[in-house]
Amino acid sequence: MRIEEGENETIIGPSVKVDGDFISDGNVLVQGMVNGSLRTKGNLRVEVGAKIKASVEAANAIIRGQIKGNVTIQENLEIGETAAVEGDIATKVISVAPGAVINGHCLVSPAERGNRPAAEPAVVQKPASDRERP
Amino acid sequence: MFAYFLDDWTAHKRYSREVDSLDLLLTQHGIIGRRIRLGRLHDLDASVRDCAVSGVKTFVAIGNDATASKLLNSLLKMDGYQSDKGPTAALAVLPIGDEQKIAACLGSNTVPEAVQTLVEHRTESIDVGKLNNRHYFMTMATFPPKVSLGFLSYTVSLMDDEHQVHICNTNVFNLKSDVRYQKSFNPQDGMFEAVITRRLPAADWKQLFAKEKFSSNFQIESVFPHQRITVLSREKTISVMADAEKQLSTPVEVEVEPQKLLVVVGAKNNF
Repeated sequence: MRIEEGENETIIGPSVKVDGDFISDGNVLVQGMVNGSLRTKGNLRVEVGAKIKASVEAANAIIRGQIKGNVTIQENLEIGETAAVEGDIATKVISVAPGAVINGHCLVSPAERGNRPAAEPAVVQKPASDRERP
Repeated sequence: MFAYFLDDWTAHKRYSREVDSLDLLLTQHGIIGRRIRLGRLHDLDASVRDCAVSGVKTFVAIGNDATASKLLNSLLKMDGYQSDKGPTAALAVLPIGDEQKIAACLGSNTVPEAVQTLVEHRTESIDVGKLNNRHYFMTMATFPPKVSLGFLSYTVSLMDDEHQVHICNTNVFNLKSDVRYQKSFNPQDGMFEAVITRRLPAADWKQLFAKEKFSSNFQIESVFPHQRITVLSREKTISVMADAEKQLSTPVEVEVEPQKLLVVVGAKNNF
């Protein structure tokens, strides 16, 4: 996946802090801080030095900064070697570079996730105990 | 039919050569019209109304950004300026003196270029910004440091005082060649961009006193495209440079009015 530099419409620079629910229809480049939630119908690029404490939703994403919150990506997610994600991840396709830190559940499946709540981990069936067995 | 609005200071002998050459060019091209000199006590709104009633379709500001800003505000506040088919009269600028962001945006960088633009008379409808539901601006509004931005569902605060907020309607930073901003700064897209810049230190004394190269003094760090922005400040009133200097009470509501103004543009326009 490639997100061209010229495609950025909103740029959250390194000198800026965004508080609240950031919603956009276009592509977003984050170099600064975001607290709250970040949702875009376009592509997201989180650069080195960016600090996001928010749930994140986007069509495609490249993450090289820090995210504390759940990440839901509709298509492709690329996690770079400098990235640190603390939260659950849900996406269709993922690539993780060596050195990236992920602390949370990771759900990768090509299934449609339009109706599924953000980064909800799959339910795991417990094996039946000895007493329950016939 | 044309009406020319000359700012009072253009009568100064410093500008006499430019004004004389302008008169000559206008006469040569046969586009002479009504001349109105804008004194300090002049009622510009009444003059604009009077010209519109007498059938003037092109209002020409002779002077700098402040002159064009005064005329633009009077024109847009005039009753009947907007008809069902759009704006009823066009604005043009003939540049005299410094501070010519509006003229540069319209492709009228020099007096001969501006006269040629008037002769060709190609018009375009463009968006304008509105501050506190009262003051209009065409190019951009520059706010003092220590302000923050309020959008519909989020706020943007600056982490230090070195940065400045500009709300841009047109491409004043000359960034069309930069691939990162090709979709931004279009005065016909019904949006404007809140831009946060960092002022670069002057490399040498020549750059410190340079009047030109406004855009090279700033480095763009953040861009937020939007239609409505609230600028918040701890001060009760702030000085905003929106084409011309304006004192505004805070919070300052900035909204875009799409395709509101008709302008005469030249081939070298910056749209």
